[in-house]
Amino acid sequence: MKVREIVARPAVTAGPETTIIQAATLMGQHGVGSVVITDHDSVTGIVTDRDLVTRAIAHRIPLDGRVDSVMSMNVVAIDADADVRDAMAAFSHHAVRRLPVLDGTRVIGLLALDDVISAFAGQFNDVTKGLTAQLLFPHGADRARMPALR
Amino acid sequence: MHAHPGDQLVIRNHHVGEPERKGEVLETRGPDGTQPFLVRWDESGHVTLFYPGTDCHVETLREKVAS
Repeated sequence: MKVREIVARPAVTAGPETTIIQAATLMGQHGVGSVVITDHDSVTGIVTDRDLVTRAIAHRIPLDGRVDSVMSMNVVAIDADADVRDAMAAFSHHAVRRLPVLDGTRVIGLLALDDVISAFAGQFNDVTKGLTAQLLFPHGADRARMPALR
Repeated sequence: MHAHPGDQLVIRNHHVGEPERKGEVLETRGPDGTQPFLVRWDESGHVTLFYPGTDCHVETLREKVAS
């Protein structure tokens, strides 16, 4: 399964000169918890709602300050055509919860750990249908045929 | 930031006792050797696309050999 198949949402991006309050407003408008900060089409950081709380509000940084003062740098990204298992490895090795998804060098989406869990949960559901059927209707010559589950 | 395949990427430590993170640049995906870089991390051997921050620097292959 490729990363591009399970990306649930486009990335919300903003420039480094964006203010903290503008970043918070963007999150609210788009219903997301993070904004990818880009400069001349290159990713320079990512800021999350948690960053705004723990790095800006908690330290009384003025809300009209630049968002790049509270963003996380050293961004790990994933290619849109990479396998989802590569994304899982990146989540694990780098202790991050979100990965910008790249098509070439263009950010086309944001993959959250939740997206991966949700995708695999769906697959587990399909796999366990048969198991559930076997538990409810054990195989046996003297028993009724197992009904097909939908 | 510019790099070439074979260069070493170093992320400086931010806390006392915290080791630097190092990795080998395998590819540069941006124009003219710019980021993102495909990096193999020394500590895990894991390969990721990476946009280095301002706390990173590149040691060229020549500098790496000299050290």
